[in-house]
Amino acid sequence: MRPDLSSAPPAVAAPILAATGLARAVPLAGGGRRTLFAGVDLAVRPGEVVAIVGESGVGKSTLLNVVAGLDAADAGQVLIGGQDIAALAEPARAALRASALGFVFQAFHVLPHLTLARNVALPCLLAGMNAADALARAEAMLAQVGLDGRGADWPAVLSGGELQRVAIARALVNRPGLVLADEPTGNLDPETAARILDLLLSEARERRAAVLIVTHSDMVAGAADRVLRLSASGLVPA
Amino acid sequence: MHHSANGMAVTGWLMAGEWRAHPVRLGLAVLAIAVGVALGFAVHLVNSAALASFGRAVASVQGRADVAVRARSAAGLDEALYPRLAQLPEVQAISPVVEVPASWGRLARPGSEAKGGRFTLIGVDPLRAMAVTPGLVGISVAGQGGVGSRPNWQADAVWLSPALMRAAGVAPGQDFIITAAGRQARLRIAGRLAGADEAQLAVIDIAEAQWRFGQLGRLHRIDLKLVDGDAAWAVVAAALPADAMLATPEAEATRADALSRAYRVNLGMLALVALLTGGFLVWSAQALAVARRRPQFALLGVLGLPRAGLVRQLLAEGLVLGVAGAALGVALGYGLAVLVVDRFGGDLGGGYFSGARARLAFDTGAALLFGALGLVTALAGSLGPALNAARAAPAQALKGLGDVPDPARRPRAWPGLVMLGLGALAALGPPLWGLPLLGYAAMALLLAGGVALMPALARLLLAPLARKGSAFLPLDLAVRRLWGVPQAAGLALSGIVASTALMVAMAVMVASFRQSVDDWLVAVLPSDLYLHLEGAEAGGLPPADQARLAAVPGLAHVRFQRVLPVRIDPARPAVALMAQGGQASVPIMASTDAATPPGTARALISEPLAWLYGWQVGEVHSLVIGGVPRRLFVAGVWRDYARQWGAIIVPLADYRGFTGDATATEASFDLAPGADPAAVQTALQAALPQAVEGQAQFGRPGEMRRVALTIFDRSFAVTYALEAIAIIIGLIGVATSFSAQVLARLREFGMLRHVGVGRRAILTMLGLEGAGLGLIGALAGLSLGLVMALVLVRVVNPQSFHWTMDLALPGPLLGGLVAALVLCAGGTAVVAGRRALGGRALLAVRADW
Amino acid sequence: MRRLLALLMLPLLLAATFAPVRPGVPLRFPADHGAHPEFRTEWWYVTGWLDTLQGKRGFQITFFRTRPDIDTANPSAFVPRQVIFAHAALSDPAAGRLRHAAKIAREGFGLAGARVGDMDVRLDDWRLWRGRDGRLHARVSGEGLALDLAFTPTQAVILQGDAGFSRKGPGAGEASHYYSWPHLAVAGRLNGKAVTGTAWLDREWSSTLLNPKAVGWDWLGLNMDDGSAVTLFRVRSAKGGALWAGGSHRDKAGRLTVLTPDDVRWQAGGWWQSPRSKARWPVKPVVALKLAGQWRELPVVPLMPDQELDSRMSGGPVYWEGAVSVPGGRGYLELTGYASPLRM
Repeated sequence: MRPDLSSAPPAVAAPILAATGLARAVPLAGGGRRTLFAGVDLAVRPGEVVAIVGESGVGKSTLLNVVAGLDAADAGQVLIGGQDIAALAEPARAALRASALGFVFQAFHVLPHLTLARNVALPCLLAGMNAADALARAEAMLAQVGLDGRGADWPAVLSGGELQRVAIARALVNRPGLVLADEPTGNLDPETAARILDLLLSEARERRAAVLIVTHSDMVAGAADRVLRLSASGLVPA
Repeated sequence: MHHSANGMAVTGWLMAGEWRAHPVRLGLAVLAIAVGVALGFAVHLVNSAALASFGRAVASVQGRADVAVRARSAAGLDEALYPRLAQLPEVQAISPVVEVPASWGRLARPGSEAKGGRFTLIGVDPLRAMAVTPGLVGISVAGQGGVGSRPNWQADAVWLSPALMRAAGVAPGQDFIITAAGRQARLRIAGRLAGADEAQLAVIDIAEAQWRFGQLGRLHRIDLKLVDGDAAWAVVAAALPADAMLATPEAEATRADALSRAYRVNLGMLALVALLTGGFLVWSAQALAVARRRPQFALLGVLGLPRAGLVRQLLAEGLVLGVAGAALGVALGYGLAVLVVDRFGGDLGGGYFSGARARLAFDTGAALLFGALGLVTALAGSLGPALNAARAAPAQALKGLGDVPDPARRPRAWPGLVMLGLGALAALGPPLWGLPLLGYAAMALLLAGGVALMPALARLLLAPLARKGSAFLPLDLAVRRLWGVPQAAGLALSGIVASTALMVAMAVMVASFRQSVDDWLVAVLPSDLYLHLEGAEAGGLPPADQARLAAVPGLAHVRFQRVLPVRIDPARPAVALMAQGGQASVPIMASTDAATPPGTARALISEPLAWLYGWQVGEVHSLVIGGVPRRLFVAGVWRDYARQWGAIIVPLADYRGFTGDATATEASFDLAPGADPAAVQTALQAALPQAVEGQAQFGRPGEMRRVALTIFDRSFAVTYALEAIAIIIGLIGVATSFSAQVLARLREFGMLRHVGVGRRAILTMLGLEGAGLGLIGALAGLSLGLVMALVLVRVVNPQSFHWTMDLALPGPLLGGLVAALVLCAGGTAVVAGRRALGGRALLAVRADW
Repeated sequence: MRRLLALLMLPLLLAATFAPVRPGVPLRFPADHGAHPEFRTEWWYVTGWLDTLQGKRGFQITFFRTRPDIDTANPSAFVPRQVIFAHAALSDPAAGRLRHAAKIAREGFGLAGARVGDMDVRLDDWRLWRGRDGRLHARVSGEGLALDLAFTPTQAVILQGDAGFSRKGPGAGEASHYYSWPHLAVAGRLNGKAVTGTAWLDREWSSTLLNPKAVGWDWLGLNMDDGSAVTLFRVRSAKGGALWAGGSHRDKAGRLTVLTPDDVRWQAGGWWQSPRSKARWPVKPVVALKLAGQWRELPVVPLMPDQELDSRMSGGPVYWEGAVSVPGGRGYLELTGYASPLRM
């Protein structure tokens, strides 16, 4: 029986992301290894906004990469929508990212030589959609993030806030179950940051997409449903 | 669930983006491929056109007989052989032929205004030739066949090939004066030879040819049609006297092919080198582009583009570049070939296919082949960077600066060293199929090895500077950058090193050759005045005329010489038998003081002859002179650049004793002290019989040397052009790689400016970096080029042309080349930097790429 | 073909050095079997019928000698003082057309030549000669055709015209020396298989040319079953009429009647068109000769219609030469000038 996600309370729904016992160490220049984190358990349910905070260098971004299948954990398991991401072959993992995950970065990463619409449409293409449908969907998505009718513009004319709107549109255009955001407001002034965060969370909620945010910002953490702190000993509620 | 990405659209969008951002870079990559393809294709077209017309010309003169019995020398065969062969049951049809070199008009040295030309005069019995070589039977003016209207063949009728009619500007019905074998005859043009378009050829009746041109009783060729089977061939061969040999069309074709083969292969190799240089450029451009676009690819990886998809993406880009470059290259190549054939003729001024007019035809197969080569080059150039990009972890790449090599990692030197070692080994190898293929392999390996060694070498060279540091900040920064990122330097260097090395190799080879030819000319031209009878192989000045010449006042000493072609091997072009009076004046390379064994004549052989036939000093070999095999004692080897197929010098007295032929085709005159060369020449000219006036060419050493070197330079003009193209491609490579690197490093410059380094200092740094790269590249290319030149001079040239030369280094040229490269590289870097720093440096800190 | 080479001499001016054809010169044998090199042209023309296991076949073996009009001091052995041309053809009704081979060469080097004094003409490995036994021999091969035949005379030669002086036109010089040898008994081999038959030798030599108004030439020679022999010829004008005609009849008793232009009638008929040359040939003429005031009509039937020969590739004309029969006799018919007027 298909669960009715819209009516069921978050606590009852199956988690979109379920990570258990994750551990990761990095090699040191002088030999030996430094543990970034270990014993990390994390479950994020559809529609939930979870913020991860922690000191610099503790491995927040690495954790995010492990969750996205871009980096391998030394131990533990990551299930995205019930799929063990480590068990997938590389092309399948890439396909899973294209269809089930959205990404928002601190540095926006909007390709400068593609129009805004094409930037936003990229995940659709990567998920196998044809170009015309992808562009139509991208235009609609740009309208949702307040860039109505600007699909043909080039990134060079946009401000930082506008670029991040494009990034948010790109992250959500494929209706992913989970958006991974790494310091999404780190390059923005506080006022813009607040507006962008609001946009990201409201658009995600509207699509019942869960959001996992790595941040230093109290403002961002404050907007989350749950805030977790990462340290070498694990992930604990802040 | 699994989606396959819509890779086509992704590729299209990204390429469109690249094209928008870097049209020049993409354009240059396309151009690099195009230049390589164009050169290869053009050289191929010109070659095949020239060879085809040459082949047609040869076939026309042969008249396409199955088998021909040929005289080993210009002296010909006794005509009694004709009925003997005709009566063999194995002979189905037979056609005796008189064949003498002939000329019309006044033969002149290059540059003079006189109009004249050489051709082959053929005497056939048309009744016999109809059955064997119908192409040699003329069609009369009235359009009647030759047999029925046979009386047309008598007396003064001559049939000319269309090519000869064009060259001499004559038409049927007109008179045509022919000089051959020291005699002259006025004949009437009866018509054109339909079957002999390309050859410079005239046909008269065999009886007339024998009578009018002093060949009574002699034949030079007997064309045969044999019954099937090898046995027939053997029977005919067994019936031949010593001065005749059997030549098949295959042997004739081999001979025609041999005439120009080495030349063609060399040009073909040069074209491939151009293509290879283009490949280097594509590779370095792609590698730099991939490095620059690494964050872009990383983003695509994060967003869900699988690695295989990324490789496909980059290969697709390479494919598009390759297809565009190949198409452009084929078009350019065809245009170039048309231009070259139009301007220089089929031999590119090489003088190998004289008389044959090249007809250029678009060769679809070759176009596809060279296009495909260009495509493969582009794909190969893209594959390495593509695999490299796919290996990168997308998350790190996304966060990084793009180009983040680790200065702690040492570049690997062994692959380059291994290739250099293999190259050295290959250079020691023997020729394969008579061609210096291993020599070329050695060149390619040396080149590849040298380029592969560049990062390690750059680091090694810069290590002392980097350790010491510099008080001058821009220099310090430049050195550290070059030292720290030798892979990037290696990329920029590959093109420059490759093109410099090739250019140096070529320049040194040509300079060595030229110097050796010059020295040789001085050695072989010791007299004050020379007389040469052009086209007089069949017979020259009789003794009475020689005596008249020798009696001209003002002469201290006269030496006469009889030169005639002699065949040793039917599949090889004839060698020149030079019967010289007096002491031979040639540059001896090796000789023996041993006494001439009894029953032998003392002979000096040329270096190519020694190579081709394996004759050595001190040996006794047999050579048919005057119809009988004579034993020759090889007393020495002399250097000869004039006769690629070999020459043998024998004493004139011996030759006359062997043959009874007392004529002379050349003479050298030493003047009495105080004699006026011009007056003596005029007197000599007056003393010549009128019949040979058109053939006689007087020359003085200085002017002959000048003409020879002019011809030399002209024939190497193509080489110079190819060199220039290689160096331009190299410089374009430097420019593109610098622009790309400067763009990739905008953040670095932004940071430097933020910390207070002035714009001027950054430009200075870039200039120094560029100049440093140029210097390293030029020096490395110079060293590599010298090694390759050694391979060219010591391996490739002797193996293809069978002569050696002394190594000569064109110092000023090489010095200028290095200086020009350093300046160009530095200037390019500054220009690229200036453009990149125009207001964008500050923004660069914020933007990732 | 017999007039072919003479016709080809037309572009040349007559040279005084050629021997003239004069009446009253008696023919002597065997000397006149041999060559007459001082005359411009000469031929040995053997035609006949062969009996093979497969049926009747017609054959012709011809040797021509021509003396080109050159007068030169050139001592070269290649100077073409005489040119020998030879031709052989087989008419095989099963094949439906002629099988033929030809050779040509200038005299010299022992490879080609015509002997003076008795019959011996050779061209490479082709040869026609009179043996010591008085028989004639011919050996030719080429193009899938090999004939090795011996001809045994059963009758004396016929001296055509006035004791061998045969007029060929109304003009004074238009004549040749001409004799025929009918009823030669043939034995030998055709392509290796034994054959027998009956043949006819025509011998003619001359230095003069056809009448300028002539466009063609018809000739017929018949070995009659009763031992008699008929020779007929006519030279045609452009209008189709005869410029000249003649021939002879020798009956079985050996009585010779020389035919004048008024004694010969030639009715062209039985037109056959060649699919190759598109020329139309009257291959079934009706001929008549007047003997002792009586016209005797002979309807001619060819062994097969296609006996056309195209020698244009070697500069000759298209002509028809083939085996024919009449009631009570067999022989050969030659037709020229029907494809296009012979060049004048």
